[in-house]
Amino acid sequence: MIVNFNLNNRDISIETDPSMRLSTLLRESFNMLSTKENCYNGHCGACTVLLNNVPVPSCIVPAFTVEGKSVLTLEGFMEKEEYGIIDKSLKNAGADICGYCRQGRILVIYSLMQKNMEVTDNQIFRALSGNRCECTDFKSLKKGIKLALLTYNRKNRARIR
Amino acid sequence: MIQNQKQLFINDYYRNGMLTAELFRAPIEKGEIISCILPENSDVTVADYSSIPGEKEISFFGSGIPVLAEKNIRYKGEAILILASDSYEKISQYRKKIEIEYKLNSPLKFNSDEDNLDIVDVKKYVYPEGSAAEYFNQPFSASGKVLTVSSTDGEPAVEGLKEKNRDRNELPEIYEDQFYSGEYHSRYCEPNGAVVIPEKNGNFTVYTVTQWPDHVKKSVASVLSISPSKVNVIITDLSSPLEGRIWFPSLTAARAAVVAASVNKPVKLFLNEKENHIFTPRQFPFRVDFRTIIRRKRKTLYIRIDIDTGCSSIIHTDFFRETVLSSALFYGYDRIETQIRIIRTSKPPMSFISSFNFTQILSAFENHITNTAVRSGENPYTWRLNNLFIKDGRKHYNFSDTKSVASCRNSIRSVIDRVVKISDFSRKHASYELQRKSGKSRVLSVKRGIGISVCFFNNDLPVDSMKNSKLSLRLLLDSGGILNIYTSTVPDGKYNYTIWKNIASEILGINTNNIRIAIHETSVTPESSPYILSKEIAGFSELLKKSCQSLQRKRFRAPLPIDIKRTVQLDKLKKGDYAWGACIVEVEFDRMTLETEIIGIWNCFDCGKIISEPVIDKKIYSGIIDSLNWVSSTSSSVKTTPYSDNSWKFYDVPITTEYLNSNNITRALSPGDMPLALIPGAYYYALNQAIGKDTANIPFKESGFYNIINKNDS
Repeated sequence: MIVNFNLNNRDISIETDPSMRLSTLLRESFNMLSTKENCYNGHCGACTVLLNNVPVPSCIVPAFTVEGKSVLTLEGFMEKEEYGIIDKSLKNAGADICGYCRQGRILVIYSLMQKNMEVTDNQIFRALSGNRCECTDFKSLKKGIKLALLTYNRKNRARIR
Repeated sequence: MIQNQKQLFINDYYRNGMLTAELFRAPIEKGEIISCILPENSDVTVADYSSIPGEKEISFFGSGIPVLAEKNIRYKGEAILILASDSYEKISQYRKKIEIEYKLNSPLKFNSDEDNLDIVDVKKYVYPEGSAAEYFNQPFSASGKVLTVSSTDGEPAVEGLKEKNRDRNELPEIYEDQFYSGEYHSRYCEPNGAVVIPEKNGNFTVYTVTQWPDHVKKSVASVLSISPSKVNVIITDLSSPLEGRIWFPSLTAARAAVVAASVNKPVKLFLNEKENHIFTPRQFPFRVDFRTIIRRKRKTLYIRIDIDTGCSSIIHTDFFRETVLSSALFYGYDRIETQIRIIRTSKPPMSFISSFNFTQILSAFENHITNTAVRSGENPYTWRLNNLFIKDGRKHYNFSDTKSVASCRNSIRSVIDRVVKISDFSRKHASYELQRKSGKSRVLSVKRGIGISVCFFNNDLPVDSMKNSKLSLRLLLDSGGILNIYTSTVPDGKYNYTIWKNIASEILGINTNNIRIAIHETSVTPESSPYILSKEIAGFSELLKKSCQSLQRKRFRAPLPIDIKRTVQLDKLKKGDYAWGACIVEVEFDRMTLETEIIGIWNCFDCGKIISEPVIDKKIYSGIIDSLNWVSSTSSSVKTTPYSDNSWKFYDVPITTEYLNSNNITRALSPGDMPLALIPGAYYYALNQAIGKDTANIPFKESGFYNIINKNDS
């Protein structure tokens, strides 16, 4: 069957198997290797993508269900200005996230930033709890997210003025 | 190879014509294969025991681990066949048609009766060496963990002491404890796996995730019966933590190599999440019985340790002996008798992880010390100070002079004093103990407890058999002023790369951005033992420091590029350096909901010179969270998902950590896995104090609390 969707701001039309997972489609057909496949159950968070700006585990999303929707992976997000803000903030906070969970964590942080001007520890915890990689600690991640949010809000305010 | 991404993990590798492989595993716990019927005319390549051209086992410090099962099945999930094809779908279809008939045998269990235990080996050690053993054959009290104090009334628990001590004043005080520690497994997302590529010249290139690339090289070569020089191992990008990646990747690579050699095509074998969780090595579960006997201020310790090694005994009992001795001698024990029993069970091979210090033993021992102090009517803090290092264990600890002893004692006192001060331990402990003794704890729904724990991390090698191991390093300062560090020594955390860069930067004055850690590849990097043997900071960092100093001397004499190669035998490293840590944990336990809340954690470490405070801070914090996850894990069963509900629940625990350098040491001493030993020890006692009754099993479970409380109340 043919699926039409928007991948990283490009309109795509591709023939796919009805049983194919979105994560497999992204990796095998588009070489989007930032999307990792590990648990195939949606609980490790390594395959998280933004589907219509909502973080979802792509390993449990059938590829045909993205018809007419937009999908954002780390490869696409890296072209955005916000990626630089998040990446730099995490580095400055000492949150060295590994390449395996990188996409999931960064896209979740981006989604969190878009919804909130300020975040509580609990909101951060809830947002990140979908990614179970233990490569870094919550303390530095929290610091990095708050730093990213601060920088993001400052830039937005400057733009409005 | 696809190289358009910054980081490539093992399942990102692909090459044209590559086959994907999976393992066919035994569905039974123990038994024998009677017959095996494989489907014919299929696109799937099958490799069994007889397909292995060379050695049928990979070797690890003298232990053999079978690549594939021949006839006997030793644990559920043992690999019998390797199935390889160009698609998983074909393997999946083929798998359904395989018919294997088994003869079932009774599985071996760790908790069986004494008669049904499969005891592989019993080791007995007495300290001081050569002195007569007194307690090896003495049974522990019937209930195992029950305290037996016989100084004023009652009969001594130890038979042999009855007749010797007719005089009441000479009756010994005997304190007994029993602990059980479940298996411990670190969680990580990145799977274990290997890609093996047969090259045109008959060589093999192996991509894998390992801490010991030279072991992978030798294992693949021995299984294929070729020269190790024909195998090149390249380590793919690693996430962390890396536990379980010492010998296990060699097994996976060897399996992939067997198929790759037979079909002469690239083969990729990687474990799915469930396999990764169940079959990668986890820390040995064990049961420990402690008996402290104090008679006329002379302290004797008898320890019996039963270790569940799974189906393969990958263990050196010397590790345990050293751990026990090092711990007990610091508390001035005069005699130490250790009995270690290796028990084989129908589980996948267990292993040590990360450190040889056996953190569970240390935490159990610390809890025994606290129990001993409290039962003898003393504050655990003062008991520790009064009993610290009374007997001079200089010979055992390799201390060169009395100055080392004094500085060690100074470190211990400093960390304990500091942590007690910042947590207000003495007041809190006395208050909670009073509450426990007065029985008020039964009335109150919410109760508190506080525990203390002290621990060391030594930078010496645990056993003689490993002292021939070496660490190697190559430094290349190229004409562009970029420093390249080549080594096969893979650290167990990427934080160590920052430390390496900082050391080189400090000596050579090169910006850390211009220092590169080269890809770990056996064809270009010198052979090395696994990083864990270097005892972290002390080993490899010393080698790096000396190499950098050597490069610095050459720098202004020789033209660029400058190439330096250095190797160090591990037994030549400086000995006798101990990093010390103390920890206090305060908890609140709710008898109604059976929930535990951590009120605070206070730590203090004496690690000599701190090279990078953020790095050490992060390491300690991660260790604390990891150990809290372990002690409260509710999903210890291998059948359940590796991700417990407790993961990250400790994100808001108040933790205070301080660092001291009480002896003004100019070297960095690694804190290693100290948090993994400290936290459980202190948490354990704090929880027992809050509950008002001893619980003996780690990890703690709500059902266990319920039973303990009900037993206590009745």
